[in-house]
Amino acid sequence: MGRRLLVAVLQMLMTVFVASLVLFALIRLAPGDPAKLLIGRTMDIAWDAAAYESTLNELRQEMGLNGSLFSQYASWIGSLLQLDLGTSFYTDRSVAAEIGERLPSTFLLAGTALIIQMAIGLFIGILSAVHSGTWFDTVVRLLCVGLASVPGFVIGLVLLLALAVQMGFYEISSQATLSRLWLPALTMGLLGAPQVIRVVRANLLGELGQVYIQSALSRGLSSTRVVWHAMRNVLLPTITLTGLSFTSYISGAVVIESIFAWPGLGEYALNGILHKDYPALQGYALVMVLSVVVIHLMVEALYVWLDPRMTRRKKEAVHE
Amino acid sequence: MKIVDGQKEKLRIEQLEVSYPQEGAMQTALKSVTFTLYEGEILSLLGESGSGKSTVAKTLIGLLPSSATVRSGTLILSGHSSIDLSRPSTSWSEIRGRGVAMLFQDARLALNPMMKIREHFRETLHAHRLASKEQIASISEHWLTRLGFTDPSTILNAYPHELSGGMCQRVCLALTLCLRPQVLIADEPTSALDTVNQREVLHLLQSLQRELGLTVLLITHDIALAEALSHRVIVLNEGRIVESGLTSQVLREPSHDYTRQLLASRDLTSDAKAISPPDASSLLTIRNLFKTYDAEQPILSGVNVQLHVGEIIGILGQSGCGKSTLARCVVGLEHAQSGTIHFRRQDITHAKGSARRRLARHIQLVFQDARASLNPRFSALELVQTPLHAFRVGDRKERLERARYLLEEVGITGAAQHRRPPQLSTGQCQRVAIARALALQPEVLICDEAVSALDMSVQAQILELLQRLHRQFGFSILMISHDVRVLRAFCHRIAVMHEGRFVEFLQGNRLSSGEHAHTRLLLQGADEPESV
Repeated sequence: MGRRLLVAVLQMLMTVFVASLVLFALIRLAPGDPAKLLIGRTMDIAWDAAAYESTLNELRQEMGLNGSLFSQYASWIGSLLQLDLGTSFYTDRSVAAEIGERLPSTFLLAGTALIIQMAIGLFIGILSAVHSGTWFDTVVRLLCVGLASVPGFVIGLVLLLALAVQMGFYEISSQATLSRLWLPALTMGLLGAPQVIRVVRANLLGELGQVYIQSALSRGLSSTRVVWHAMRNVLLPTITLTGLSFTSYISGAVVIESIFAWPGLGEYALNGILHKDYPALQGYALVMVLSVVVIHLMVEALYVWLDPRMTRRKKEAVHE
Repeated sequence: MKIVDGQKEKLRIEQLEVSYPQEGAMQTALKSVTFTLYEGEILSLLGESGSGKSTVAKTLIGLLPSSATVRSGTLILSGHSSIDLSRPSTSWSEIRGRGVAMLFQDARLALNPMMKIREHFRETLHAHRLASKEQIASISEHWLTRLGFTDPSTILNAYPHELSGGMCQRVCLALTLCLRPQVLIADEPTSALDTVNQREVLHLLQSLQRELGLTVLLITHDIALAEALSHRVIVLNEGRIVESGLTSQVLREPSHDYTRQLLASRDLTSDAKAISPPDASSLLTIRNLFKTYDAEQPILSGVNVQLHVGEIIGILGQSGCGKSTLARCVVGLEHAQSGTIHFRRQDITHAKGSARRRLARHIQLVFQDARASLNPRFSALELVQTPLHAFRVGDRKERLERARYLLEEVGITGAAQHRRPPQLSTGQCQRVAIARALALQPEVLICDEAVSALDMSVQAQILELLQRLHRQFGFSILMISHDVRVLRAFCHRIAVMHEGRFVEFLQGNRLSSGEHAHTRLLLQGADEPESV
C-alpha cells in the first residue's frame, strides 16, 4: 500500500514537471510582447525611438524577459521551489497572494456546483432507471439532450436575465458572498447534471439486470433495497465522473465566472491573458495542473478504498 | 424412494402458459404446464435449452422479464391462497425467500461483488425479521457450518471474489436455507462448477435435503444428475410436458419419443474406427513449458507433450489446472517463461507480432463460449470470411464461395448463413466458430471446452461434426475438456492435467486403467453420483 502511494506521488510530480515545461513554452510562444504592452499603458508613445528602445530594454530586464528561454525557465523553477510564483507584471503584486485570494472562491463555486450536479443527477438518474421506458424516462432523456446541447453561457445569461434583471431575486455585484453563490452554482450544476443522469441511468440499468439482483429479489428483499444493492456498484463509475466534473469546473469556470462577475481564478486567468501577464498565467496554469493531478489521485485512492476487488485479491487464505 | 399416496402437496402449478415476443410475434414458451411438488421430494424438470425449464423457475418466483406475458396459470403454495399468475399485482415479497427460494446457476454472479458475505446474511435475515442484530452472526455461522465450512467467520468476512465457485454456491445455499423455505428451486446449481466441486455441492444438497426434509425442484439438462438426485422427473420439450413419473420409470423405460432421443444422446458414440489413426510424424512439440503469474503457484509447471499429424489428444482437468493457459500459450496469446513450443521444427514459444499472425494460418482456437467469440454485428457468412480476408486469401468471389462451402460443411445452410450470432442458436454459433477456425485450413485445431456449454444432443452433433471434419481434412486436435465423457468418445490419447502438468497419458478407450490418484478422482466424478 505504501509503495503504491509512493509510486502515485512520483507519477504526480513527473506529470506536474512535464506540464510546467509545456505551459511555460506555450505561454511564451503566443505572439505579443508584455513589455510593449506595459509601456503602452504607462508612457506616451510620442517618445523618440532611441529612448523608447532603451526603456523597453530596461523594462524587459526588470521583468526577467531578456535571458534565453532556458534561463527564464530555470529562474522560474528556482523561485517556484521557494514557493514564490513571481510578481504580476500588471498589478505588481505577488502572484501567490493573488491566487491565494481567489482560489477559495473558485473552489467554493466548483464544490457547490458539484453538489448540485450530483444531487440532481443521482436523483433523476435513479428515478429514470427504475422507471425506464415510461413517459418520465422519455421526458428526462429529451431534457438531457436539450440541456447538453445549449452552450453554458446562454443558460447563464438567461438565468441572470430572468432572476436578476426581471425578478430581482439576485443581486449583481462583484463580491464573493454566499448570497451571490447560488445562481452561478445552479447554472454550472444544471449544465453538468445531464452527464451524471446518463451515467447513473445507464450503469444502474445494467446492474439491475445482473443475476445478483435477481438473487437478492429471490431471497425476499424489497425492490427498493435491491436498488441500493445495485447503486453500490454504480458508485464507482459515478466517482470517476465526479472527479472529472470537479476538474472541469475549477479549470473551466472562466465563462460562468465572468458572466456572474464572480471573483475567482477564471476571471484572473482572463485578465492575465489580456495583459500577457506571464507570471500570473504561469502561476494560474500550474495551480490548475496541481489541482487536477491531486483530484485524480484522490479519485484513485477512493476507488481502491471502495472496491474490495482492488485490494483484496483472491487469496487462498479462505481455504478450509 | 417411492412417493406414498396421499403425501402432502407443497406446491402446485396449473395450466401455466407463458409467451415472449420474438421477431414481431408472440412466441409461446410454456403451454399448459401443470405439475405438483410433494413435501420432501426432489422433482427434476429435465429439458434442453429452449425447452422452457428456466421460464418455469422464473415464473414460480416472479422473476420473469417484463417482456414475458403470462397468459394463464395458477400457483398454489401450501399455507398461501392460490395466486393467479396472469395478474401482475401478485405480492411476491411474501412468497420469495420463505415460500419459494432459488439457487442460481452461477453462484459467483448471484452475490453482490461489493458486499461481504456477512452483509448478504444480515440483510436477508433482516428482510424477513427472522433474527435480532445479535443473533444474525450465530445464525449465519450455523448455516455455513452445516454447509461444510470449517471456518465460517472467515467466510463471513470475505467478499464473493475471494471464494471459489463451489464455495459461492455453498454460501448461496446457506443463504437460502437460513430462511427455511417451503420449496427450493435449484436452477442448474452445479453446471457452472468443475467435477470435483460439483460432487461436493451435490452431496451437500442431497444430505441437507434428507435432514431437513426439503422440497426441491431441480432444473437441469443433465440426465445423470436427475437420475442420481430426484425421486420424480418431468421431461419438458418446447414448452410442453412430454412425460412425467418416477425417475426410474421415466429414465429406464421412456414412453415418449423425445425422452428416448434425449437418453440416446447421453451415450456419445465411442466408435474408435470413426477416428482415423494418427500419422507417425510429429507436428507440435511442447517441452517443459513453465508459466507463472505470481511466484507462489505456477500455472504451468513443466508441460511435455507431442502431437502427431492427424492425432487427437484430449486434455482432461479441473478448472484452474492450467488447460486454457496452455491453449493460449500454443496460439501465442500468452507466453511461457521457460520451455519451448515447436511447430514443425520451428520455435514458436515467443512468437509475437507478425510471427504470431503467421501462426494463425496453422493453429486455430475454438472457444467455449461460441456466441461471445463471434462479433454480433457480422453475419455467419461474413464471420467465416474474416480470416480469409485477414490473410488476403483469393479474391472477393473466391472467399465468399469458400465461406459458403465451409458453412455447408458444418451444417449452416440457406438463410441461416445470413443470420447474425444473436439470431442463431448456441449450437449454430459453435458451428460457425468451427467453420471460421477451419477457413485457413489449419493443421492444428485447439478446442477449449468447445462443447461444454452445449446441450447433450447438440454436444453429440458437434462432436460428430468434428469427427467427420477430422476424417475429411486430417488436421490434429487438442481437445480441452473437464468432461471425461466427451474425451472418451473422441480422442486417441488423453492427457490428465493437474496443477500445471500432465500427470498421466491414457489411451482413449482405456481410461479406467488410470493409476494416478488425480485421474481416479476425476473419473470418480464422471461416474454418476451415488443414487438416492
